[in-house]
Amino acid sequence: MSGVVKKTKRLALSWDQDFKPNLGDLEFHLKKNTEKNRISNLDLFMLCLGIGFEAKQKRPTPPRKTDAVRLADIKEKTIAIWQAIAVSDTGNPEVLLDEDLVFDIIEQYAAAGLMILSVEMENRPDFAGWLSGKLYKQSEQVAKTK
Amino acid sequence: MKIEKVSVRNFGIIADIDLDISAKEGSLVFLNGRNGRGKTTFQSALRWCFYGDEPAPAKFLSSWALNNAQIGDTLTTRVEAEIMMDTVGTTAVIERTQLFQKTETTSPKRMGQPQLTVKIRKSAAGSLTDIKADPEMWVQSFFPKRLINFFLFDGEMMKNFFDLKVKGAVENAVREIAGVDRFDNIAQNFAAAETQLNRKIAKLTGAKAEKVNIQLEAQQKLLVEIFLEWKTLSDQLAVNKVRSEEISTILEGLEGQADAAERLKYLDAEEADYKNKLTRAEEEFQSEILTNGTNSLLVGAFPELKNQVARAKKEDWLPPPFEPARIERLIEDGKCICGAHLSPGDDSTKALQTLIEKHRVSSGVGKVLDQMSRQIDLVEIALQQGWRIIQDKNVSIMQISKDIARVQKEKERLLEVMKGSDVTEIRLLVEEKKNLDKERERLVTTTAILLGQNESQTFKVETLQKELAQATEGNKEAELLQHEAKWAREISEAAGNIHQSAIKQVRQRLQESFTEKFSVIKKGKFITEISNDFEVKTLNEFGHETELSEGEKMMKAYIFAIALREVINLGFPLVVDTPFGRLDSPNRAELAKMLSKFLEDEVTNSNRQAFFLMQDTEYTPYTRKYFEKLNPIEAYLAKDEEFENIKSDLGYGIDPDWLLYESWKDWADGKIG
Repeated sequence: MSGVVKKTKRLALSWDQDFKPNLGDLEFHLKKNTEKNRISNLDLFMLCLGIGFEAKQKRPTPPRKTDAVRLADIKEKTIAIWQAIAVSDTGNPEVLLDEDLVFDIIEQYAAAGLMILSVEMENRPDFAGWLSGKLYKQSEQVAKTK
Repeated sequence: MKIEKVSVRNFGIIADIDLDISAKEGSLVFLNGRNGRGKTTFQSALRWCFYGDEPAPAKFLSSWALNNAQIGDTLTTRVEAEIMMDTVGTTAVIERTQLFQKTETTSPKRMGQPQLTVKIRKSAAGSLTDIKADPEMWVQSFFPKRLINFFLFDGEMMKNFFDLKVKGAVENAVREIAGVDRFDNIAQNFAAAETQLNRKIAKLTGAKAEKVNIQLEAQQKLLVEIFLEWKTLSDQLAVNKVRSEEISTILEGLEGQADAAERLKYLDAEEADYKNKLTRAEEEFQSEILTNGTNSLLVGAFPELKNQVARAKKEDWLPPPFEPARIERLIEDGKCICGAHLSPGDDSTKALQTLIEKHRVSSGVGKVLDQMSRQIDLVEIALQQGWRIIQDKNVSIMQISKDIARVQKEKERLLEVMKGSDVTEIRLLVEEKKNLDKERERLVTTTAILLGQNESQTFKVETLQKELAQATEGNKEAELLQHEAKWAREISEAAGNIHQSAIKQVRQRLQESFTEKFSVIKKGKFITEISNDFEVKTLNEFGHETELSEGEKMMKAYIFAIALREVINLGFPLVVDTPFGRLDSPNRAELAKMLSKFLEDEVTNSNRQAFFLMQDTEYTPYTRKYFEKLNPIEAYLAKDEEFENIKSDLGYGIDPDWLLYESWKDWADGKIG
């Protein structure tokens, strides 16, 4: 960011502690679908962020535990998506001048997304199928929009 | 044995003489003559007659005869000796002739080989009979050539006789007397035969048979191993064939079900393969959905971003960036880039400061927005690509699913065909038959190779068996040869022993005879020893080799010659040219004394004869006195008055010419009693 941007002191993002225990189940379902050996923290965080943002739901900013995504390894493209969410959330581009504000916003959406997925996992017998269908439709919709 | 007549024709200087002493008493003959009168020629004539030893060509055909002949005339050189062989009157006439032809050159042409004739008469009254069979052999049997040095010798060389060639001469004499040459030859021949046999044995026997046998055993073992392996494989092949035929029969009975079973097996594999592909495609599909779908969920944030970017563009937030620090430097410098002067607090300066304040934030946001919008564009492109991948994977999944369905349908059809049969069993049979076919192929190849090896190995074994048979046969032959070699060795040793023993006996007899005779002369205890290498040594009573005077040395030679004649029991006359040699008066006197005493026993009391060929300084009136009592026959060779230098004549008594000079003149004058 430019020299005018206020830098964060965080090393990593944090999970909502209320639903964090469900991350294991979520990882299991994702592995089951994709047969991937490992689902990364970033994969989980981005999925939760997407679900929360799509539902326009936020939770309070989780306490800083630095137990989610490590910021040092994040690609520029991912940062751009996060910043876009912050701008969209605030309607003010000046939010970009404070990194912590951006990270707070995406943590809030991700916390909400995790909560939603936790409920779905609990309620849907075919959670993996439901999630796959949801993501497929979303992809299809985006593609059609273009 | 006595020489009674000697006729010499055309031999050297002796053109024509006839020595006839048959009517004369006595066994000691002095044939005298001055130098060059033919004494040595006379001895040379006898040597040629008896032994065939030719003189030098210039001394062979008589010059006198040659001078008297015409070109083309034939001339005969002839020597004839009539010899009384024993006391009963057996007489031998030995004649040797050689024909020559006078040519235009100075040298005559020899015509043919010398001819030897021997005629025998058993008694004085009998007639001569020609020995036609082998006259040379006859002569050799009475006058052995190897003893020539002891019958016809030169007195001049006598004193050195035992120092010069005597060893070889003595050895020859001993061998001749012992008559052992044939045993020596037998010993040598059989020793050579043994060596040759041993060589053959060495070739035939030894380690060869053993070595071949070891090789044969190894090769036979290998052959057996090959055969056993071949047998095992052949058995396997037979079992394989039987089982394969069984299976073929079973499968033929199932009318195509085997093919169906086989097809099913392939379809199973095909289905499994499609399912694997489907699984992989679905996994890739899900992975792409997770990534692309997640990002798609966030696409809702992008419109606001784009609005803000549009606004920023409109309000000129976006780069090229506004640089407040550069404007602040203009203010500090008090001069604008447009040339206006800037002072703190004036309007221009204030306006610039307001501009700086206004754009400080917006320019920062603009930069971020600019970077973000670029990345978001990339995200959107990635989303489109991701969607295409999802679609492709979806198509693949559908296609694979269709394939799987097709395969499953085909399987169902085949299963319908095979309804009522045990598919698994059929499959196992088909599989087994395939394996059996493959195994049979391998077995056929291997047995063919083994058959080839077997043939080659059999050939090797047969070759070795032949070699072994030959080697064994060789051993048998070697055994026979070993017997032969043993016999050869025994015969060789026996012949060698006989040879050594005979030589030893002859040496002993010679030693005894010599010692006896020499003791008579010397009246001392002298012992004669003939060593193993045929050296004749005279030892004194203390066993040491003794020094002999010149006369004693000559006497020793005479005695040895006479001892030989005694041992051999042959009576060939002793014919000595210049018997006193160059001895001085005392030595000559001593030798004459010794000889006269010795000859008294040896000649007068026996049927033996001695010829001494002397000139006037040897045969003096004083010498003559020592031999008077032996009643010697005196004859002489004198010059022919007509042909002084090329022809000698023979006379009896003392040469009248001698009586003209020195001691013989004194003797003739009665001054010597």
